[in-house]
Amino acid sequence: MEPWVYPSIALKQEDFEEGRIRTTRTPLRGEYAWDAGVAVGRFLAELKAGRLVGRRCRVCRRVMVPPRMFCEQCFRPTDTWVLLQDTGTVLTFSVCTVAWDMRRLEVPEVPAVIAIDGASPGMGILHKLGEVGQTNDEILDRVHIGLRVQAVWKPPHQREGAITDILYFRPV
Amino acid sequence: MAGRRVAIVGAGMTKFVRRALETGPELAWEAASKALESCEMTLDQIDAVVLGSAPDAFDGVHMKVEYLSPGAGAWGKPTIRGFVGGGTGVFAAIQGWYHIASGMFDTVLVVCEEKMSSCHPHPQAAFNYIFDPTTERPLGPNLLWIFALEMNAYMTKYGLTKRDIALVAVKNKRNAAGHPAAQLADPDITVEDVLNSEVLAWPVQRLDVSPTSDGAAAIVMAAEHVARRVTNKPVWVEGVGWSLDTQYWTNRDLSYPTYVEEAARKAYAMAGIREPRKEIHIVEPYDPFDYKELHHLEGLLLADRGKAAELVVLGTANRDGDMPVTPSGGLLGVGNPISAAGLMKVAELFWQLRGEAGSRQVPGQPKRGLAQAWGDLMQVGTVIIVGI
Amino acid sequence: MPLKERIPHLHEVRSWRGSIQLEGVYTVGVAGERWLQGLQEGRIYGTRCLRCRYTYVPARLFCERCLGHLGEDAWIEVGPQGTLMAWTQVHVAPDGQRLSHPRCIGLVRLDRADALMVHELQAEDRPLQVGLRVEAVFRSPAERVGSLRDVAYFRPLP
Repeated sequence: MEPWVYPSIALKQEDFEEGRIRTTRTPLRGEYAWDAGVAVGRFLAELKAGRLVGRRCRVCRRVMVPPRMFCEQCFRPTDTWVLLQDTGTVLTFSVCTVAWDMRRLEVPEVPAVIAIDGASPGMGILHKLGEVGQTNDEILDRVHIGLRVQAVWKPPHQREGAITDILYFRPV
Repeated sequence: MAGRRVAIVGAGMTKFVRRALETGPELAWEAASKALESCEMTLDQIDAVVLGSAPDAFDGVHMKVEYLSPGAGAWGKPTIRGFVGGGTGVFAAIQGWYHIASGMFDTVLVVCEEKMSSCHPHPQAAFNYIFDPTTERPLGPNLLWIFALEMNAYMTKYGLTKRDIALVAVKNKRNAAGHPAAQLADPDITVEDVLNSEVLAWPVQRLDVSPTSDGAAAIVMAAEHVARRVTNKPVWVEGVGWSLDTQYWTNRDLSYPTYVEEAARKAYAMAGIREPRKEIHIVEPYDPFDYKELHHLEGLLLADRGKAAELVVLGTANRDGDMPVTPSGGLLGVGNPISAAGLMKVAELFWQLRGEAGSRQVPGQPKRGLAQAWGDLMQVGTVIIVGI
Repeated sequence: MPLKERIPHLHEVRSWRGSIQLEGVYTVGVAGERWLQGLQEGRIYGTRCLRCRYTYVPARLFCERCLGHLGEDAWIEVGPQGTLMAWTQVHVAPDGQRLSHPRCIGLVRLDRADALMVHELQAEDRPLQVGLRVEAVFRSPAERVGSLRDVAYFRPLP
């Protein structure tokens, strides 16, 4: 099959840095205002009030979080709002030492999927864990799948109706 | 078997590189023209074009497929873009199949291209915009999070070790040593190299991850009456399947890819396969991360849940094992220009089943292979089964 | 009625503001390298496909009509004179602001080329019309950097 591989030209970083090849640069900047919509709009409003809420579908009986106005499995409108706890269980986690642009982080972040108490089993949300250590080893020592955690909220006057109104979840 | 019989009759690709001099359309042309040349066909013999490419943000050109289309031979032809994230490469071949199986066209050129190096400060940045803008993105997520979260869920559920999983990276990077297009082949890599590589997002380390790449791949597909005229070794499409799980990825059991199983079951049913572990001779599962190969083997029902690592540990998955897995070298070894990497796996089966894979050739005259890709927000499975 | 006026309590509509911040760094490619080198030298090149009898400008590596390679012998010099095929006067910037001086943009078929080239048009007070003969005006050699803007603009032939 070798004849059918085109010998494309590989460049090195230096080719760019030393101007051996021509490039054009364009910023791709877009400013957006994403409407939260009906279900997540209410979810955000409740976060501002210090509460987590889900939506229940009475056909499949699931209590879903993040909440949605429709059940994607039964394909019908969901029925009622359900007040959830701000405690939960770590379904999975990572100890992330790089940022989105691959810069290294001084203190690792600990993203986790957390099953929220009061929602159906396995209904998790994405958030971060805190108060679990400063280094990989410390964190891996303290965090495990199945860990019980609770939300740490911003003080009420600082909340803005955002997922970040919960600062992080910490071990119970 | 649904519709008319369809065969792959030609394949070509570019080298996969970290940064290519070529523009996107030039890469598409290099692969497309090689695929046509490989079966001695010309563009005027092609009825329709399928173009696959992942997010526009990589190449940095919106309406990317229109941008790529000149190089893919789409001028004046019915053309469609398939896009299911990382699942695109295999899905494009499936689209090529149904274009022909339906009776609409006799010949289709399928081209997949990705030029990730255009995206700065790092191609990974483009993935920030796959997360829910309201409930997830304010947390500052990055792509590694979801892989790390899934890998941890998978490892923990089945008690797998990092060492077992690292063997996949070792196998694939070694396999790629025989691939003339490979970007990250390493015949001498060891498990220790993987385990000692930089931690990115525990449990994910540098060598657990495929590179970012520029490249393109292409295949020519044809209806039976054309295929038999073009080549004496057509590689027939025997089964296809694809399926999508919920976008609410934090509501799923991340330890098992149900959507891959759904796609595989459709493909096996269409191909009349009852015992996939005996009837599939070569597997090219999607391996953007080493654990994903194992995860997918289980979804494909080619290993029991939590047991895929044993295939690698015992050597069953080696090129000369009972069920060779990723003899191409995969995304981990050949490289990962997203959609082109998926189609490269289909091309690998084409070359392997025709006995044209050179030093990568799987022994024993394999008769049937399966390629699978995966993508979107960890939710799509695309599967194609081909045979001679 | 605009959407805004149909929502009685606009302040209650929740949205999350954010931005997409990426930068594209584009290589100009195999054909592009040579084409821009040509502009820097004050020449406009095209590539001609003999089979399809079509000349591309900017020059390309391949013919999109037959997928044939356009190699060394396909490169020919085109222009710098050509014919105006279409033009427009732009009064609004991409951000919606009105321009104090409208810009003219022309679509030019350079002599010996088939593909059209889009560029800025400066006609002073000459009336523009389709079919007008125009020519490329290059920046001074010292100002050229190997960019599309090495051609400063097109202008009507005297």
